[in-house]
Amino acid sequence: MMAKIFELTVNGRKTRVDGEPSDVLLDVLRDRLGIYSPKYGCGDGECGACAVLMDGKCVLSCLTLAAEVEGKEITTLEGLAGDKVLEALRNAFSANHALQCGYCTPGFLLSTRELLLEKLERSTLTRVEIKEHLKGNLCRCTGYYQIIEAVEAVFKELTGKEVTKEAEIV
Amino acid sequence: MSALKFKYIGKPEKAVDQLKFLHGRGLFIDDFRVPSTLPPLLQVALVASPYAHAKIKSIDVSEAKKVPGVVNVYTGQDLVPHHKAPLPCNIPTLPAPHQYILAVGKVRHYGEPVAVVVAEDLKTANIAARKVKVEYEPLPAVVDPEEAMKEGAPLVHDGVKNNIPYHDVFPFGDVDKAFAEADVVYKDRFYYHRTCTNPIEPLGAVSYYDNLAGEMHLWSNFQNPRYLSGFSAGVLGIPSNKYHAYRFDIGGSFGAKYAVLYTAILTGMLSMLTGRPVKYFETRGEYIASWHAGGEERIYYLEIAARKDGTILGLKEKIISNYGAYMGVYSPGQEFNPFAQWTGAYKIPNVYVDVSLVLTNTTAGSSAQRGFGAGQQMFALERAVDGLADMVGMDAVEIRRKNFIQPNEFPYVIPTGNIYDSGNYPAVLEKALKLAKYDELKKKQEELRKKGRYIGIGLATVPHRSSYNIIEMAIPNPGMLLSTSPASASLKVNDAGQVIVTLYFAQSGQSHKTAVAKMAADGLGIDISDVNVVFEEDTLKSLYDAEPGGSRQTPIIDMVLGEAIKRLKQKLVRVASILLPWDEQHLAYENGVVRATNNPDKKITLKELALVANWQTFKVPSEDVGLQVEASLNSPSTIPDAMRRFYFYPFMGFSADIPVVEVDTRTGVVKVLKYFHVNDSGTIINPPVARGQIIGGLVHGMTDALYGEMKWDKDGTLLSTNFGTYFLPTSMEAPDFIVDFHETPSPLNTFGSKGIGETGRIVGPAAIASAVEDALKQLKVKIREIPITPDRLISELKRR
Amino acid sequence: MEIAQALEARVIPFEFEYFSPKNLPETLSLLKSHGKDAKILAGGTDLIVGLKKGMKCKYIVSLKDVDELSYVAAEKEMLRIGALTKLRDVEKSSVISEKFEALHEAAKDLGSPMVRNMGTIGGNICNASPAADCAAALLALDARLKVVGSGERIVPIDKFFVAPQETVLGPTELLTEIQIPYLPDEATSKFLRIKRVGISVSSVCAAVAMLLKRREVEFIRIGLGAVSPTPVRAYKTEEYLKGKSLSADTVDRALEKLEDEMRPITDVRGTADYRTYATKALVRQAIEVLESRRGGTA
Repeated sequence: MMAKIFELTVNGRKTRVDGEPSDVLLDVLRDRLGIYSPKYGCGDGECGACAVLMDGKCVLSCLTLAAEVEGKEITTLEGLAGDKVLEALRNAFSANHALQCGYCTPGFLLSTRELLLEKLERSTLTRVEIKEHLKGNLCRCTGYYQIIEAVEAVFKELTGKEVTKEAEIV
Repeated sequence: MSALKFKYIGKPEKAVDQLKFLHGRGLFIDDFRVPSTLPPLLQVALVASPYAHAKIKSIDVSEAKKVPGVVNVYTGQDLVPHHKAPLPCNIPTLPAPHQYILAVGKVRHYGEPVAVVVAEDLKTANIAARKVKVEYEPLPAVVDPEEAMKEGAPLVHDGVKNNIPYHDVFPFGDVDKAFAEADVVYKDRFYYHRTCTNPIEPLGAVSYYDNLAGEMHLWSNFQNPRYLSGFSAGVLGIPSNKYHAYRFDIGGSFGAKYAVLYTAILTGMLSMLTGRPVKYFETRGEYIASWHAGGEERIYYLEIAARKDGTILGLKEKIISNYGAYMGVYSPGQEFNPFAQWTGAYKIPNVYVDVSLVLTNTTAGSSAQRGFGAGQQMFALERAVDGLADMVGMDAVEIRRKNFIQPNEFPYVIPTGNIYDSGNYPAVLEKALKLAKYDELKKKQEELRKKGRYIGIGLATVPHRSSYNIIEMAIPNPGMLLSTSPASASLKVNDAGQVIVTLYFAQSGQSHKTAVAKMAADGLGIDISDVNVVFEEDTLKSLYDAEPGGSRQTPIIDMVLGEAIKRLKQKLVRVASILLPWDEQHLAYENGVVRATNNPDKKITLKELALVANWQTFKVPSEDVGLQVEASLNSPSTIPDAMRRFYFYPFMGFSADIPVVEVDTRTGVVKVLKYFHVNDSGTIINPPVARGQIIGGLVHGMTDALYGEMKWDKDGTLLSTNFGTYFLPTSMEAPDFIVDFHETPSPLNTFGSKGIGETGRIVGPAAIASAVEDALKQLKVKIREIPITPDRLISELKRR
Repeated sequence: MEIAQALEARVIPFEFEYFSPKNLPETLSLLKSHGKDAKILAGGTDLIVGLKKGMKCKYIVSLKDVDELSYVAAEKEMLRIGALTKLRDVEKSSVISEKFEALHEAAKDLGSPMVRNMGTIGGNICNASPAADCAAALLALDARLKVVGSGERIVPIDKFFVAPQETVLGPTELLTEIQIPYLPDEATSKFLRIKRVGISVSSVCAAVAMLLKRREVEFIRIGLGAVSPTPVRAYKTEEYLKGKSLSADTVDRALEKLEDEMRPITDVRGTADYRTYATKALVRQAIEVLESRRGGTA
């Protein structure tokens, strides 16, 4: 047994967790730390349901060893209370019915937040950019469209500007 | 529309059901922790076969058992005596037992489990699973259904001649006469691939057998726990009245978690053997490879006969359906379920169906999938109608108008016996053509073609049956006891005059809490803030509800709630007659008040009544204490007659769809640019929810039409095992959706609603196939098979 | 084969020893002693998947703390990219998007944004998938790879790949840097790919770097992915086009030659025939774009 003690910083709190080098971050968060918002959907990084923030960047926790995040800050949905962009996104997701079963939603909230944080500085965003940014988050309930509308609503709310739509072919 | 008649129904409302998910507070089965008063949880890992067809010569579990933390390792043979009844299989010609929970003697598809390790944690279970030594003797495998039907093909199950456990023909009307009278007959072969629903959450269950009380507890993400727990209880030998199945938040189902007993039976059996709670939560690969993947592979040989003016006279179909390696409890359902709307939106008086179910060494397709086969039939039918249109020189719009069931012809009985309740197909089509600016689109298409671009404008006009009764199960199995699919609701008013509606079904994101609150508020004429809708979690404590499936819940709860409200009003009037007092015959309830019809000053409010009935209970008849009512109803249905015609899906919606695609003829890639959809699902309760359901369903339709496909190599090795190989559309593939509604209420229920959940997948593939074919019209490419993949398209283009 | 390997994907079902060296010398020292039984962990987007699906090793050497290998440095003669540069940083680099368009385009749409937040350019190359997008682009850009072990060597990228998932790297060696010579001023590059859906591995991909003088091809380099056991250069096609005037006829003939330089397979993403056809379409399209970009004039 190659035991290891992880010193993790999750949602602002330092914790020590007993484990092994082969422990995957997603399972450590869910099974040992009681953090359930990141989900198992595919296990190989294709669906985005396991998204967490590592030093502020969205990453796939199902492809991250717990050992890899020592010395880094892990943030999940649970740790973003009071975040203004997230608040706006929640309201917009609800108003635009951008979720149904809710399983992929934490992943989408983190991804859309990352996109908006990037784009709010420059105050430009196109619909194509939204689609490109969200392609790592799979959803089988909504068909994506109302999620895209929610993101566009938040961008407008926070910048006063409309998201640019691509020129129509027809 | 409905927004004018009702205060709440029809108005967009934020779904309160979804709020918790925005904070990561859903309770999905993988989040569930067993109560701490129970023994600690055990985890399992399956040992899955890498062969599609092989004899199991030996299984050596000795090394696996030695791994510290392993509680036990079981093979298929070990578990045989623990099947107290065979796994249910709805095809009587298959000798029972047809299947065991783990393979016994033989494996019949890639990924079929042969052993299971039970351990203290998941990693230990997986490490030990890799130490199980299985010796296989590979056998020839058969993957293609038409190959499997030939003489000399390897037999998937002994004694099942030509791998066909079921074949039958269904004549409705007189096709021979119709075809003899016809001026033209259009013939073609259509192909719809094997699909896998792939909700983002796989299936999972935790079972605990409490041997002190003799009661089983099942926590799972089943779409319909009540329906399933009965079957599982039978296999496990547990009395059904001691089998609790608990409802959870479900991470998408669309049928994938319906009619699948696997996780319940496996964990139940193992809990009985170990005395501890046992969990099984599938991996994505296990989900795709296991025996509930989804929609069967179907080949249609179709002939459609018509007069030269385009009037359709008859429809003949020979269907070959590949059910994989095993048949299950719902197995052939996806053949007969589409009988509900077999002839689509058209008047086709003569129908003949010849259906063969075929077994092959591929994943068993015994589950239901969004549309239950209706999308497949609509694909074949709509393509055939377009082929017919070409033959008689009519355009796609004309031929549909010619054959539509007309608004004044409802209720309309189709040859298979189902009855369409209401509709206005010409109006919906008109609305769609306007919405899409069809003529302008056609002009733009011409202009772009001159610039070398291939834009396609598709059209599909398809009805959408909803709220099934599972009568179709009896078709292949006439010996079985017929069943229908009722629903129930409870209603009560508390001492504060607030209404509580209790429902008895699981949900996977349909926002019924919000929808039913609107129905209750409008039905009682009270403020919606005085209504709360709650769901009972334990099936044993539940009234009878067959639970979601076949777009059931909205229209049938609409019916049931209406009945419950009626009973409540009767109760309110009776109690009012005592409290006022006044003659019951001259009292009526409306909008929160019981008022004398012959003296408007004599009244008592709902709140006043409720306070007495809940607090001063001595003042009211005992049966009215608490103002509690229940209602359980079947939706209308009939049992099969001598011709096997039956009425089982009473609500019939409709849509007219116009997708716009671009085909890159250099690379074969199809891009859906826009999708226009006008939907008639009767009264729409909550428009943003309805729109979301439609769009989600349409993307499922797109998945089938263009992307995901189950693939096996010729030896039966599964090649599509994850999202990298079973393609699901991402946000990049999502087109703009332009959705509008036209409401033709149902006359069968209280508020006129019809189901909407499966709509998109029933119409999507037909519509997109039509669009791609339209794009390539000049190149004379016909779309007869889906998915329309780039390599198939290039192959077609090269042939021209 | 006793278990259906392709189906595994939740836990890593074996034990290994884990090291996270703090710098390059420590890394090399570890590789010297353990390299034979070790796997190198960079972004993890390929390795962790492999570990869940049957790949085994005794040691994992994680490069998470080796910050010195993450950089994009535009120097006088060449661009140097540290092997551990995240793909997201490659995507966002302005010098790469201005001067090495093919690499920018390859990185920009690879996988998904989350994959690019984690994955590294070195990882994409060393994983040596036949479809490696960055490899196809780097082939067209004539990149050179710095490999460090007991000594240091520069390997031209077209000599780096041996077979699917196999490179010339020895067990004690590490890819540390990608060096890309600048293209001449009037040359430019283009990368195109076809994916089944947004997150798919490319069904086919192609990169072209070209310099036109008047309408004549002064040089052209074509890198192809997913049509051979490794990413490859299409030398014969390049040879054919060199010095020729670009006309429809010439391009047609060149694409015929391209067919002989591919050995595609049929898999879930496409048939061999399709791959051949589609790659030709991509190369043709790339040439058209590059031609129009520089106007084809003197």
